[in-house]
Amino acid sequence: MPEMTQKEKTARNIDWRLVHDRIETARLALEYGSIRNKEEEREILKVRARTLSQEQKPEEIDTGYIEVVEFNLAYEQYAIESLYVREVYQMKELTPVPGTPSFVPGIINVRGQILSIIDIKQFFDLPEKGLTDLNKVIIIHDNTMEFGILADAVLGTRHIMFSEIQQSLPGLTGIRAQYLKGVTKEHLIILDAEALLSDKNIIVHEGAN
Amino acid sequence: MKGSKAGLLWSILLGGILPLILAFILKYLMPEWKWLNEPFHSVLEALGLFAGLFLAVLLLFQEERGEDTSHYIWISSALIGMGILDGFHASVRPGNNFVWLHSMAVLTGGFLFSMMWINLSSAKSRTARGIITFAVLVAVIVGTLSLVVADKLPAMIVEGLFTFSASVINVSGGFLFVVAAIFFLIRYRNTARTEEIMFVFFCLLNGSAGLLFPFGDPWKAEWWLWHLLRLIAYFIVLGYIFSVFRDLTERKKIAAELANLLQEVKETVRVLATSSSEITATVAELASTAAQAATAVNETTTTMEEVKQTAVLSNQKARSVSDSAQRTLQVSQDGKKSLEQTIEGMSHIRGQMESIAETVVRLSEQSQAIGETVATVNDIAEQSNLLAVNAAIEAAKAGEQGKGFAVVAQEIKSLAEQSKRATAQVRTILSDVQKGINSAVIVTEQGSKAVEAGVKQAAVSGDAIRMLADNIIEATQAATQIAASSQQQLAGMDQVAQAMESIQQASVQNVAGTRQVETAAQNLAELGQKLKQLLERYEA
Repeated sequence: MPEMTQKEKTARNIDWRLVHDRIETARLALEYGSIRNKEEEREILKVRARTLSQEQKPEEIDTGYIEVVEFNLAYEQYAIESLYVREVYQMKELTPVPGTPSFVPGIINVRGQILSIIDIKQFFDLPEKGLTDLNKVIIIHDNTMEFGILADAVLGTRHIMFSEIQQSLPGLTGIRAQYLKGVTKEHLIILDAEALLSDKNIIVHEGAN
Repeated sequence: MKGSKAGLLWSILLGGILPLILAFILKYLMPEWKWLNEPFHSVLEALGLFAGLFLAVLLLFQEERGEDTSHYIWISSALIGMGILDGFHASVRPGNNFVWLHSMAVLTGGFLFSMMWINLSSAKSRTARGIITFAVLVAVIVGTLSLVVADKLPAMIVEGLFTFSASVINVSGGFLFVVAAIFFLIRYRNTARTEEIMFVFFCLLNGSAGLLFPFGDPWKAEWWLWHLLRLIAYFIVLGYIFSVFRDLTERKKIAAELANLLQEVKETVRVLATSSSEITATVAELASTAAQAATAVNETTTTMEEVKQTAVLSNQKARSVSDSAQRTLQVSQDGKKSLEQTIEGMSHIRGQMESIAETVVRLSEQSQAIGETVATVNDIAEQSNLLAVNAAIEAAKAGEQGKGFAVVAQEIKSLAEQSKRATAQVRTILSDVQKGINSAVIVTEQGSKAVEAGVKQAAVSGDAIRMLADNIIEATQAATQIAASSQQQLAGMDQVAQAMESIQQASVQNVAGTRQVETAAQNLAELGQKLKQLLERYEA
């Protein structure tokens, strides 16, 4: 605030005409869209075209890659094979179910189908790093199992070359290692959807339920 | 020569010549006329006796007159002796001793009168008494012896005529009387007193009677004339001396009164001298005091002039104060007006501030609505993104046929992400806007408060200015009053100055008057001194 008063003091003689001009300009900008930003728009379009033209080249290489869905969870980037992903869903209502383990926060209703939700953060005993959105659900399935995984944000789909994937990771231990397919150079953790779907722990719980 | 010749001549004429002429006229006119009347003669002689004695006593008392009266003793003794013998003469029957006694009386009287030539300078008490006693004794003895041894006396009258011895005795007596008359004449020449003339007359008459004795006969006209003349002389002298005596007593009384008066005058003069010297001292003091007063008045006048100038100055000051107070009053009224306008402007600003605050609040609400809209857009973008992901998944499942679809899905996803970035930008801008609004609200609030404080301050200032204006009005009135009263003071000062001028003049006159009084008092003192000296000289 003292800055403001100083400003007030320094700008004691306000040039009201200038102010009016500026307000008028803003009003015109609002009414007629970005008249002045045409050049900027053009610039943006140029940048976009460039990026698009650049990305077309790696798509030419078809051999030895997997298709994954990339998502954020607890400030880390994960990926899961698109083959096992039925869809991504914006979670609207989560209904908690009593007596379930802590990694099962509840169930959701997706267009009439009841699906259970798993918090892999809890499941993997990852340390808590503050509250996150956790309002996205990635629904994975195979022939036997179907459930949703909570995610903070779904980044999109991409291709990952096999050559990029490092099989073993010395930092990962215990349970997590079972469900990992590998890690890329960019620290993208690729989950093993098959392993998760066929996990007995989850089934046992279900069975016990 | 003091005595007048006329008096002298008259006395000689009346005492000597006229009786002589009368006697001769009577002798030759009525030579045969004879009147023998013893009682009448006795009465005449007795009257002469009493007159003489009375005269003697009077003369003795005359001694107290303090003048040259030593000869009165002789006169008195002569009158007494003569009187006594005349008394004897009156008491006897006509005969030898009858004439004898008369002759002795004339002789004694003449003798004692002529004795006046012997000057008795200190002839007072004792000697005088001795002479008188001697005269009385001699007269009584002679008289008594004359009665006792009448036969042994020399013959005085024979056959109705006087004898030679009788004539001798009488002529001697008459001669002695004339001698006495000469004494008185000489005295008269020296003193010119009527009394001396009287005695000249008396002595001449007696002397004439004595000298003419041999030519007379008893009981005849000229004889009676002499008796009568002698008696008249007695009474004339007696009357005169009596009148003199009376004058003397009167004069003594007057002298006593005069002495008293003199005493009083002396006392008065003494008092006058003392008083006049006191007056002189007082007047001298008064003169110095008056001079001091004059000096003081002079100083006061000077001081008055200074005070007057000060008053003039203070009057000017008061007037200028009054004028400046008037101007100040005008200024304060202007200040009051402009303050009222300021207050009005302040309340106007307050209203505008309120409207600004409202506008800002509305702006805030609108930006919130924008935020909500942006959130919706963001949500839509999110969902679009998810849909794009799902489409991409589906395209991947479709394999080679889904490739084109995958591109479209990618494009949609890109758009959704751009939308999200745009909304993020909008949110950032909105956040800034919100911050700005908050600042604006706070500033507006502060402004509003400042305006409120300003209004209050202006109200306080208004009160102050109003009070100031009131005070100035009072001050203006006071200054006006001061100016008026200083004007009056100035007028009063003028009057006082005039009064001081008058006082000064009066004091100058006072000083002059005091000087005059001083001189007068000194004169008075000198006069008193002189009077005192005069009186002292008189006393001495």
